[in-house]
Amino acid sequence: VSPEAPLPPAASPQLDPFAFPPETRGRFQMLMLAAVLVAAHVGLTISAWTQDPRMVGNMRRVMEESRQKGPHNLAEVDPAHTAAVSDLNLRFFRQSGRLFLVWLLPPAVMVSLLGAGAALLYRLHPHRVRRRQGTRPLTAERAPRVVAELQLWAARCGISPPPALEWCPGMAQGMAFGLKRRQVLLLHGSPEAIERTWSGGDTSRVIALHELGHIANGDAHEREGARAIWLTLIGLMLLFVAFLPGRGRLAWITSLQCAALLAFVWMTWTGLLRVRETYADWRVASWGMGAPLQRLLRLEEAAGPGRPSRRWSWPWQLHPPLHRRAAVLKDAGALFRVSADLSLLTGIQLGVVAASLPIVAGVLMFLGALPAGLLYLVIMPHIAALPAALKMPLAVTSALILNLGASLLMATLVLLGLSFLVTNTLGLQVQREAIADLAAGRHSRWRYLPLWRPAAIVALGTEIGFLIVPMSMFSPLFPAWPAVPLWLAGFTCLIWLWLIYVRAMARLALGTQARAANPRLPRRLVNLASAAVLTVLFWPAAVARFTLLFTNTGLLGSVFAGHNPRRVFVFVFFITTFVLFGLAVALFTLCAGASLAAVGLSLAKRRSHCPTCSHALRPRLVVGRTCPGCDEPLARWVFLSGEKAAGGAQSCATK
Amino acid sequence: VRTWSAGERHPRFAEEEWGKMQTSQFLALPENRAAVAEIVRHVLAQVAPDEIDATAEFLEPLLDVAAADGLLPVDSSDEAGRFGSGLDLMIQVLVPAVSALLANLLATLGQPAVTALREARRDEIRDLIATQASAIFVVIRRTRSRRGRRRSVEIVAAITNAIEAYAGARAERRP
Repeated sequence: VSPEAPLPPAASPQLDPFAFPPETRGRFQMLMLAAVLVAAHVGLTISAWTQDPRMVGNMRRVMEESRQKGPHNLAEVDPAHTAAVSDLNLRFFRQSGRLFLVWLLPPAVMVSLLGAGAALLYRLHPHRVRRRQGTRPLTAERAPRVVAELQLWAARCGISPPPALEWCPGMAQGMAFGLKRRQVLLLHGSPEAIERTWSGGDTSRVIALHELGHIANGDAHEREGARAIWLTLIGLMLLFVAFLPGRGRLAWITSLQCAALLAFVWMTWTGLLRVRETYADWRVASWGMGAPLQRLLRLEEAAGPGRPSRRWSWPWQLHPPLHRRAAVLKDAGALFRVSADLSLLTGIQLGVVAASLPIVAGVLMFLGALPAGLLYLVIMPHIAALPAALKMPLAVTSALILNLGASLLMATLVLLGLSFLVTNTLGLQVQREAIADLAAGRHSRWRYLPLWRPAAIVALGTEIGFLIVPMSMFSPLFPAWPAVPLWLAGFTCLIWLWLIYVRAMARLALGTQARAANPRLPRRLVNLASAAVLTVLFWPAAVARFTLLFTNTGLLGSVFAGHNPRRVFVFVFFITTFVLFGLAVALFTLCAGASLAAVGLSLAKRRSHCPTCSHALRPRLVVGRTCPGCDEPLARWVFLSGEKAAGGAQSCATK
Repeated sequence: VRTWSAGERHPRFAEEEWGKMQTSQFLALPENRAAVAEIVRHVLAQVAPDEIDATAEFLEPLLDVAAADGLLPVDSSDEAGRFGSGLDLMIQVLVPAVSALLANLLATLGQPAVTALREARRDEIRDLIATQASAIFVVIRRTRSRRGRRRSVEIVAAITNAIEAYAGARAERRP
């Protein structure tokens, strides 16, 4: 089959796995971000151990001096003394800024080492593969037909620049590797043998196209990037564990946490690669070569019964069994479902990122608050000189905005970033599931209910993530652990609310799109709205989790002197949790209701038409429905077009 | 082409070298090559019928490799970026196994061409196959095919039957 060959028509419409960007991209990004944050977190832990006590002492002294010498509200200070108090505060800022810079040095070194090591490993991986496989360039002189056809396929599939073609000894295998925009397609077999097999059948071609599919999906550089960054981090963490002070319980727990973290990373990485294999298979099917690929994937069945079960080794394997790939190629529905492992691994990734985040977020908040605080100190003498009627409101407003507002803004931005990551993984998959359900005609409103399961799994995964990050602030291994189940229940409810919102939004904003092209703008709006709502829900979860730390620090005991710290803790935790939970639900209802109503109103005003025959339609859910005028699917963007579906659907029909 | 008289063992008939000496010489003759292809297809139809169409394109290149005294081990490493670890093709086991067995049978018979099998005494062929079939296990092991090793007994039986059928021994044994 040449790229120009006519393709047979599709037997039935198949869901297009590429109607949405793959959720694996977000998971890869999250994995790489987790590595950077863990490195920074470990660096800050080293800072805490190696800090110079004299610097902290100096800062405390200046702070004490500042507290003793004047009131905190500069607006109440006599204008004559404002400058002096401002100077004192500036000294405090300078002192604490210097301390922060010293604190930031180890994490900066850790992140720099991580970046440099990862960049080196990533840049060198093509050489490593070439050396190990003994590859040589596949030239048009030795394999003219193969080279010409692969270049044509690459051009047809929009792969630019086309991948370099290489060969190595072997047979019936291929490999995609290389840097971004410098990808390599490696075929096993001598050029003459490849040329011969190319004309003898479709197996070699399908293997080559599968690898080309990886390149088209951008798999190779993401895979190698994640591997490089985590391999570097493993090296750094081994050094960290080796130089841990003491050999006591802390060292043991940290070592166990490191091992668990690395096991989780390996599981996530292999899981991502397995999903990517099925996407590459579907890419081949979308190019009209699904039938020979399906035949090849079915070969494993020839092994017959008695194949030993390898379920225990499943999480560690880089490739799914061929029969599983064949099943996914037959029905792309599996790529549209919210699986338990996706929820669990997303939860763990969220936990790992969130557990490494507080100290980093604290630094970011400080860095954000520093210029705002300095500005506050600079403008305060001028405000103090204003008439009394203006002085107080301006002073209070500027104090709130510049001192508290800047920190809250930074924290909100951090949570928004985290929300985007979760939206691009689990949120995206919920959107896909909602659209797949519509396409299959499953319109029941009860389908919102089962979303509690992925929500609970995400919450559980988050707790596991908190547990496996070394020196985690949120680790459940602290005296307040009995409160953790309550937090988990609350977090499950919040995530469930969010998943309900994402599903409803996807149905409303994407399920009504009667068009042939992919609705990119509505999809981005759904993602933006989902991330914003999740940020609203993350706030109470984060604050409630922080209140659990109070028992650790003994802060409550010092604030509420004379009271039983445990009782005070329980009181504060429950009040905080319930108040925040109520507030979050109210905010959620407001935000979700407003955004859904806005989308609904805009849809009511819109006139939609059939993308095939321009027949006027009533605004309603169109995915899974056909046009009354031409009987063609209204939401063609959800399905593989006739040409594309030829492979996958045709192969199923022949089975 | 160096040949050996009947019953004479090849001087390098060590287990690791089994079949290696004769295979290139054996496959240099077109009729031998055609016979191997026919027997491989016959065996494939018995042990892995689904593979006949999908792997037909690899037969000639594999014969080329065997003719160059080479053997392509099955590459089933689960390395990232590859097509898949499960692609363990039976043809990669059968071509070297059949080539080596036939080459050794002919070396033992002292004949260069496979047509000699049809002229040899039937009981002699049966005995030769019976005594030398065990060595196919060595070739299967060298191919590093998990699937081949798992089904080695079945493969050896299928190859033996196919060669007997090719030589006509089985047909004449029937009453």
